[in-house]
Amino acid sequence: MENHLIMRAKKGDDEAFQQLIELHVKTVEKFAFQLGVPESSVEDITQEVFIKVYRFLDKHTRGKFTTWLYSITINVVRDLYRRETRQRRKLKAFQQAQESSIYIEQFYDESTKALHEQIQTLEEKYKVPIILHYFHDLPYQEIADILGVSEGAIKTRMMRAKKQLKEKLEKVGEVQ
Amino acid sequence: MNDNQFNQQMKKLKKQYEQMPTKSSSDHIMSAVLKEKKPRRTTLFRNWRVAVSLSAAVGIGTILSMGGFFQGGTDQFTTIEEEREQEQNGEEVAIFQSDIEGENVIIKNEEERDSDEPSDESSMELENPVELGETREETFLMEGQEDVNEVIEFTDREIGFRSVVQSGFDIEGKYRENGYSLQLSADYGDGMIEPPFYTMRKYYNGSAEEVADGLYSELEEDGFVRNEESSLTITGRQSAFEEVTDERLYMRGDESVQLAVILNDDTVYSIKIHTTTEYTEGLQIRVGQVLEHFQWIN
Repeated sequence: MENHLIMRAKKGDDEAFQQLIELHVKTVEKFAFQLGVPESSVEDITQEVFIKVYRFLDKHTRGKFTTWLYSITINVVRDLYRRETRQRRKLKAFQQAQESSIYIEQFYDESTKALHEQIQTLEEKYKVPIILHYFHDLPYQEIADILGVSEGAIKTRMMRAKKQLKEKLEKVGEVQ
Repeated sequence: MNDNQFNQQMKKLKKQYEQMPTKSSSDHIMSAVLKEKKPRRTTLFRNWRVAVSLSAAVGIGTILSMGGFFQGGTDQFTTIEEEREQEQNGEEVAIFQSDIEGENVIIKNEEERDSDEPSDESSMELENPVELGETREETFLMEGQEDVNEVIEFTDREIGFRSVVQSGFDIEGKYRENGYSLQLSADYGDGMIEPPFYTMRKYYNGSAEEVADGLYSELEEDGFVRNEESSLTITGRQSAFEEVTDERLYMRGDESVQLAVILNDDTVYSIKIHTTTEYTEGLQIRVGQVLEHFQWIN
């Protein structure tokens, strides 16, 4: 069904493209939030992702559509961080960070909140494989395809990411 | 914390994420997507204006270089149809070339054409963005031996940077379909050596990853293969490139292309260092000089 929609969308069928959005919008939103996008910006990021998908759909000729979609989301979020880095100089990011924590404070319990926050402190090369593997159930090979690295590299990153995350959580537990 | 505890916590967080309500509506996204779709005609018109502006500036520049003073020029306009054809072919719309062997900066267009198109005085706002400065001697190390070469300072106002390059080398500023590029080509006295060894491009549209994807695809289509062992030859040598999005090395036979995509003040730029085995050593020194003295001016 997805392939059929992609084919139709490539031919200019906007209705098919909208159906593709419906199929994947939750995944994109969830992934953006997991990557650290404040809840208040998730909608904007999701919109930007699908604008890019629409613009470059012709270029997607091989591989799984979702693999490509995850890559685009990572890049859009990276761009957001770059913009934020500049904004931080103007002291605007503080406000966004607060908005993000308000949502988490409201809906997450202590342990999930700590875990979500500690995942955010991981370097991107560790954070992305952890998120994709544990929260999107992707196999290492697909994560490797998304990040453009070898499966071996993902295995190593996962091992290090888990070790770092466990240590961070233990530290948080000690403090609490 | 053991693996079991860790996995349990991850499962719990996963559940929490699943409960997050969807915020976006596909209708809303779709209307934003369709809004982003730019009508082709508008783009053409905008580029045509730039093309005419450039041709006007080019005309003036040629006379300036010949006569030594500023006069209006009407003889070098390309027709609208020609401009459209060039745009559709993705060709460059104009070139500013600085001849640094002589004292004067010569501004000329790539191909002089006759046309009866009238001059549009109001659109003559673009000038040659490359300005040349003083020459001076620079010391460098080659095979462990100190050597000296003469370099010339230059400023590119379109990209917004200044640096130096070996005196006698060729500097070209080119306006393209979606941006502008500055090319530096070696010339050791026997004519310009192709390809340009240093190309810096400024993009008017597109995000860093779109630009990078486009550049990588172009190289791959041209038969270049990515070398995964690449180091940060460009961005590692200059702190001015603090917002690096990517840097890669591509190889094809005896040619190598080091490519970096960087951001500065929300604008995307690419830097391409293209060398061949024959000239690699000498050119790497010249590349080093360009990078070492690189300074943003905006």
